Amino acid sequence: MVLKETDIFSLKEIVGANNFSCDPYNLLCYSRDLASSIPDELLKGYGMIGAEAVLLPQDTAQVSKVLAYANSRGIPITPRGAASWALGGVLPMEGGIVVDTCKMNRIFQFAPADQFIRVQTGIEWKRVIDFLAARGFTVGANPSSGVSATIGGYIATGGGAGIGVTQFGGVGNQILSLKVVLSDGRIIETDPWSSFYFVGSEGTLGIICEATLKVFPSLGRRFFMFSVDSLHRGCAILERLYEMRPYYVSFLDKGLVKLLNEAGAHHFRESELTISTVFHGTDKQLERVSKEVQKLFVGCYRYSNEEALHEWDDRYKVGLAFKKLGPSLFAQDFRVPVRFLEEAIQELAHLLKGERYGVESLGGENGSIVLAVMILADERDKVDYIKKFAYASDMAQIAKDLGGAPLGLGLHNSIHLSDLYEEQAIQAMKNIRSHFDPKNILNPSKTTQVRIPAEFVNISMMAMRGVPGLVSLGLDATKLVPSEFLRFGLSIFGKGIK
Amino acid sequence: MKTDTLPTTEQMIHDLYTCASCGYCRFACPVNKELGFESTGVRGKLLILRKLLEGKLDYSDARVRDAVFQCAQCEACKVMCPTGIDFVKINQFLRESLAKEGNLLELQKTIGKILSEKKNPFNEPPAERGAWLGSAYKNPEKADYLYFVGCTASYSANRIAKSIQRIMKAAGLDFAVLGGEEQCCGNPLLRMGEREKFDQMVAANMAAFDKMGIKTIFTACAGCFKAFFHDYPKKYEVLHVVQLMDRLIREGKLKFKPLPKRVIYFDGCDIGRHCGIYEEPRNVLRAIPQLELIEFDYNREQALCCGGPLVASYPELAGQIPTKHVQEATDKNADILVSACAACMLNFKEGAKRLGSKLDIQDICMLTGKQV
Repeated sequence: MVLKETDIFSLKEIVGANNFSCDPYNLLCYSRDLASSIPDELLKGYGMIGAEAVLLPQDTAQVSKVLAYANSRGIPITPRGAASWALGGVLPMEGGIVVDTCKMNRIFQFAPADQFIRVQTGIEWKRVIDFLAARGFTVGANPSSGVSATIGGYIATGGGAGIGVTQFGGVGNQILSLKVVLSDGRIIETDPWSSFYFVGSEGTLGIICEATLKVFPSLGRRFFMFSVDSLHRGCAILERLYEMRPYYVSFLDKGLVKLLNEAGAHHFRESELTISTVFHGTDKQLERVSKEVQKLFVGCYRYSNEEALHEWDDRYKVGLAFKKLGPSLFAQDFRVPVRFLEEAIQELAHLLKGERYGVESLGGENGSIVLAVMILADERDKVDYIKKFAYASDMAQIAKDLGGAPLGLGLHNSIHLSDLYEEQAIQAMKNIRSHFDPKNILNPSKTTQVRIPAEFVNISMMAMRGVPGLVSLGLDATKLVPSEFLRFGLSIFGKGIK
Repeated sequence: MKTDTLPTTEQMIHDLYTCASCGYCRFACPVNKELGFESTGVRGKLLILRKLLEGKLDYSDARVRDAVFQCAQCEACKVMCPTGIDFVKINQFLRESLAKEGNLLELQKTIGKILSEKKNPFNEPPAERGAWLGSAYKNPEKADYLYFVGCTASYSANRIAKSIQRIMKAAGLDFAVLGGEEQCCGNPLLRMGEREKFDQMVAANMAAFDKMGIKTIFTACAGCFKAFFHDYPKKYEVLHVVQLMDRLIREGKLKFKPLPKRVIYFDGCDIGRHCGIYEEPRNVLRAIPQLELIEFDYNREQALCCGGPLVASYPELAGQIPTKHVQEATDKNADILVSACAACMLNFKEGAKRLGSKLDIQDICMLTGKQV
């Protein structure tokens, strides 16, 4: 236990008793993220302490007081948006406090003439998008999980994949200013350039409390949806589409369409790729684009405008509608340059032969396409689930081999850090982190702090792949081992474990 | 751990594991929006249930009861859920399990006892149920329609019932009422998990209906309507009064006087998401000359529940939820906030009181009753 009675009293004073909880049911919820199917024993094996208290601050001033207090006592802080990311970025590995930003959900200012909106960052993207749509505006980059994903969460996780990215670039390009609380409670306000320090910082440099974002007048939109029977041609079309900078482009692979149909969630035509795209522009631009799109897809099956519009309306949901067939999923997101898409899909097919899986794509920045690979599983069959877990490292390898990378680091992907960046770059990131957070209280054991050495993880993955039953027995055994003992063991091999 | 309280059917357990943990359910959950913590949202509740079933979390009577009853059963989560989990079904199963154990909130136990004894939740004498009609009232000799008044309009919001009398008289539609023979529809009992007691009320009401020789039952109470629509035997045509008014308007039998007001309509969950009635109340309001109909940002299937269903379990929480709706209506310069559910109307009034707002809040029958 990091927290003491006096800490609990002081923290309650700051946020109010109604916004403080150390109830065991809440502590469980705040010690999980989107990947809630990960076996508890695995998290224990990671040496996770878990949440000791949860706070729901309502404004920047409260966050500032909380961080100042935590800093003075060396209490770890785990910032949390919607936890709609599966990389363990919001898991409180070192215990302490989880700061859930959900009550920081106000829209402060909308300035149509100057084309910006200022919001608290705990608000969901959908709410902001709906608010703007009613007033004739829209946003640039926004996440495919926008019903729950918060403004702050998307910025902190990089905001480089999703909707609008292919037209406007990543979310960093749309930030005019951020109000950030640093680890010692200081509040700073960034400009468009210094904002980039915090884009993708995954809660390790400060808590982003307010954001001023560029907005764009809603112009016309055209919706298209096609079935393409050849993978080679579909990938070539996607490459060309990316050059045309659509607002939205996404594909469902053959496997995903089959599963969606089987689940009765959709009735798509089965083909190699089902591609949806949306263009946003003036009537004249859209007219030109329409002709080009039709030329590009000539000979392919075209869905009606209503179907394409429905697919757009369903954009937040479509990829998950088949999950009930599992009922669990094992998922991994990674990005590859769009020109290597065909190889990526082929290599996935080879790797996942015999599995029931589907691939959905999200728009990526800088010519990359993001693949969300979802494999049906049943977490109650632990041996099988563990076997599927091993695919994570194989998929990361495919991404790296093709000039891409896993999407984000968080807890689980931090082992790839040294493969993704030069040593000097990693050192620079570490220096920035220790400058902003010298006491290492903000989201410890994430991103640049690799908790368990890659070699150890790789051996574990090999074991998961080869002898999953044995791994399962090993995980069962961890139930009997005291957490402190596990953490001591890990601290010998790993880093960032106190 | 009390495993017999937890979901037992294969489908329900499958649903627990189908949750994608995406958190979309939090977007429109009135309870989670107010309380904030994950354990008050569906994602959190499903995780808790899974861990209880797996024996990884200790069972706590009080915490499980709160997790189950701090739910308005509004179905907003189902609309948002990408995997189509019917949480209300799971929640209802849990309520019935808790009720069997006697593990209800004290307020619920009190209301349940009153309902069983007095056949209404307001502790009013059953014999006075039809008092609003006046002693001279007599049912028509023959009527195809039965107006099921419901407890709220019978006792605490008589104006709704009197408005309906006025409206139907103007439209020339004869209807009968059960008066003192009417009992609560039982919906509040069912929603607290007391299915056996609910079934008894269904039987009593059905016996009374059968004696009347009617063809259609209509009601202005959204809760009664939902119970008739989903949980009563399908023996008679059942209409919410907005459907009947819409029909009468289309037949040219019902006309309204002008009302130059800006009116915002609220889609209550009982007739909205649960029964799919969205356009009829709007058609009725549009039939009033000079009335300007405006909308909440989230309306129809996406409407945000007012918290009314929580009045009988968590009144403090219930009264806080509609402050947002009242504020939005005020920001949109609405003159009147209208709902087609007396429970919503009363809860909006509570919300307005807490905000210190003087917004005019009316049931659709009260509004239209003044315009005939």
